[in-house]
Amino acid sequence: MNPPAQWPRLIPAAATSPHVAPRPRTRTEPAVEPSWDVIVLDDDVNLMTYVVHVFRRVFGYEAARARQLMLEVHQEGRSVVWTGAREAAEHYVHALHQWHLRAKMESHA
Amino acid sequence: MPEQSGPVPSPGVLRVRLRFSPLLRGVLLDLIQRVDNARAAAPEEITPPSGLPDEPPDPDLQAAWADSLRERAGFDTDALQALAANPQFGQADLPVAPPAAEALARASVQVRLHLRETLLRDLTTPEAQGEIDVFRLPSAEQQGYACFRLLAHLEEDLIQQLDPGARPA
Repeated sequence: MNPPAQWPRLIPAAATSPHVAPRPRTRTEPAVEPSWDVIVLDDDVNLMTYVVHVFRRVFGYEAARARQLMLEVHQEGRSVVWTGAREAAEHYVHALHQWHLRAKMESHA
Repeated sequence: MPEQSGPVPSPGVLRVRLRFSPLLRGVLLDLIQRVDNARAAAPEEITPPSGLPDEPPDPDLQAAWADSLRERAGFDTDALQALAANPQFGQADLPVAPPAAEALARASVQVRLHLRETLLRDLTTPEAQGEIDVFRLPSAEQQGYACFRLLAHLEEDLIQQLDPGARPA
């Protein structure tokens, strides 16, 4: 079957002609911002109940999620408790420091 | 009881319900004052977040960060100092509003962290968590340890009243 005349060409003209130089790409790709992990580290002072409460207050997590993260900190020594944009990560680390948790941020870049 | 979800609910007035010797109240007051002094003497210990590994530190961010933490920490220890100065603390139930309860919990952690880094720095983790014969400690450490445990009880009780969903399952 022949294609109808109005079908678009699937092969660009430049690709079929060695005399036509490809045009430089001028479209700007959107910059991809690295995402940042907010990490809480274990210590032997903060109580489990307190850490769960802090996760609920700072991030608004449901109790089950906050408990799961607290246990991860306790058992693994650290937990990524949030991931996202840098400014928000700074805000969260600061809030966690206000509650005296050992927290830091690391980028994925 | 259904699983509690979403933001922490706002309870009504809470109560400080601890009972302990009046002698310990005086020790606690001295200790809170020492924490305030230590914070004023070594503000550089309040560290900013790590940035990208190869970027220079931002002094403005660091200063604002540390100032804000110091301000909050001072507000919190003021609340704990006011509680400890009340002769009824440890002898009767005392009402406390939820925002003040959070400040008291944070201040309790602050004082306990200070104790752990100073007087109680030689304790192992199990010892710090209660597995210890307290009477083998020197007198000053016994008092520090008593405050350490007292503040843990205060913190735990307030958080459980504030946020019953925070209790580990």
